[in-house]
Amino acid sequence: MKKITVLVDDDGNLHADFSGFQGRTCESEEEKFRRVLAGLGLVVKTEKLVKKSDNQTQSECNQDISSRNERGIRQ
Amino acid sequence: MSQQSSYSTLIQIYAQNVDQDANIEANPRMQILRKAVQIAAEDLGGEVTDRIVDCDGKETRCLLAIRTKEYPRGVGITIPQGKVVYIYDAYRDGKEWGRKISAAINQNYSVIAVMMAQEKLGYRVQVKESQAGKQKNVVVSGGM
Repeated sequence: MKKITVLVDDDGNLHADFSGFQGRTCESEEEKFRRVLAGLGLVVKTEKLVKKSDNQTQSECNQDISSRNERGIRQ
Repeated sequence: MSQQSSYSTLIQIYAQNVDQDANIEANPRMQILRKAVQIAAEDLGGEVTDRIVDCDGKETRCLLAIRTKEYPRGVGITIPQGKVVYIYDAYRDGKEWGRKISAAINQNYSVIAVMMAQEKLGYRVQVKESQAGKQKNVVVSGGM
């Protein structure tokens, strides 16, 4: 599952976690997200960006697959 | 490859100057701003108005303003060059109510915009508030 989790701090600044994105899909989704925000009047400036390792990304995707399978078994 | 990133924010309502008497309901960004101000006023037990006063009682008209019991002089909003600017008289505002009210409006605007952006991109959105000491954070999660 692709997820964007955004913590909005008490000054209105954003701390975002993009998870479940493989390859370059994260970059284009992040760009789209920033563009849509700008269209809504929220102009954001990147202060910090940390790319997750392939292993981290793969483990996020695996976790998602196993939780989906678990849900499937329960149903 | 996934990522984590932090962003500073700026609220830009118009690209150019706007007349304070213009119809504020016409611009969708103004609707977000109005909502952000209303929520902040409710949370802080204040009221939305269109003027503030300074420590000498001199009144200034603004596009929107919030007055609270703790800060009756009020915090006003103007949008010179299209950017949201907060105005208030900080004289003897030891508890920094002026800054706190401005920050609450910023936070509300960001939360509304993030929710709307995620919905627009097709995510299912959930919102949760969390308290970290005196700091109130809001987490907006979107899944697809």
